Amino acid sequence: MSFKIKKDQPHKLELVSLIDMIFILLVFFLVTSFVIRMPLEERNLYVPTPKNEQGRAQIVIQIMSTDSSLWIDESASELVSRIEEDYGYESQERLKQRILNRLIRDSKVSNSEMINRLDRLCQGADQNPQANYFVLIRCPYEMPYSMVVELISRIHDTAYRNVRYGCVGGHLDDLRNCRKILTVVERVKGERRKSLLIDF
Amino acid sequence: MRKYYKYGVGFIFALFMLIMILLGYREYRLRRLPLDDIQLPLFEHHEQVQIPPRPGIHGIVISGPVIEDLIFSIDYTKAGVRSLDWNRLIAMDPNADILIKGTIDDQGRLNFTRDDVRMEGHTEAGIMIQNVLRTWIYKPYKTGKIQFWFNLPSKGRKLIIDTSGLIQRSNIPAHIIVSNGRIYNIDGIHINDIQERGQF
Repeated sequence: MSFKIKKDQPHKLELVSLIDMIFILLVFFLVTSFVIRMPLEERNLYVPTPKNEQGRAQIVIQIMSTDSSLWIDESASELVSRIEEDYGYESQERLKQRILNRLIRDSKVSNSEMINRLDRLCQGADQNPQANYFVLIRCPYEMPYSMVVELISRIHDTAYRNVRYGCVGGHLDDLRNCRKILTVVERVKGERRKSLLIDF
Repeated sequence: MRKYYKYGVGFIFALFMLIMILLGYREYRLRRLPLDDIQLPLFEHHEQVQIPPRPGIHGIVISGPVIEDLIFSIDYTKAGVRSLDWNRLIAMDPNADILIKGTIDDQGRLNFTRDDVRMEGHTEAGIMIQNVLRTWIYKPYKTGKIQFWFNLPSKGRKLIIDTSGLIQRSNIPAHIIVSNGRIYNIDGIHINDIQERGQF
């Protein structure tokens, strides 16, 4: 019997495994370094919430139902101003109710009309890059959020991103039960404006 | 060993191709974004999360239209408004001392009677002044009493206009400011010879 001495097999370098390991390490270090550089707020999933203070908007959209909403813009201050002048002798509460009834009646629009107005707003914003708009969307909690998403998708697609938006939950009853609604003269960026104040 | 060189070169080439593909895809995606979104620094440290605009829930201010303030002045668009020739007036009577107390009505017309005119000196100068002043029409923003004192021999102001009796018309909202513009139509007079002031 002759025994053959096994020759040592030449060791091959397993390059494929090496490459896999290098990629895994690369991805690991990339992700780790990114997480380390994240600020504390992001690591703790900081979610800013609305402040309990007065906000400012150019347009307020109050969704009332699946097919109707309120569109309140700068023309509302003219309307309220006229009512204040004509019925200034009435009591505060009565005047407030009169203003609200008239405002809700005149600002009611269908969904298709609201979409048209939003499109016109976005077109105007594209033609006027210096202007800044803020649209406040108030949606009742029981309404599907898809309605808001549709509005946001229209607003978001402007060329200069100068139409910003904000969303809060809110019902028409909040408007009806507001503490006061009146016009105020204020100075905004050097210009005097007659604005509409709604105090919830 | 030469085999391993081949693997090494192949690996480097594959890595290079992968990086080029990824960069190309990134370039394609970034091209559709605005400039601000393309310039993403690799190692920017964020001190805090940029809080998105959040409308206040305490109340809302809907920006109204800009308030355009008004200028009360002579309405040059009206036909028949004549100007007073100052040099001719001085040539006619350099010692003229004429006081005219007029009233501006709702249509902006300057009204006065013969009793409202106090003349000393050459009456022709006074008649010329009266004929010209009767043609003056003002913008219908203010009404009330106005006085013109033509004091030509004065070393100081030769024309003093008293506008203290003018009040803003009631049909103009109180928040609109009506300021005085050019309330005389006189050619040839120096600005230093005129004074508009309160009661004299």
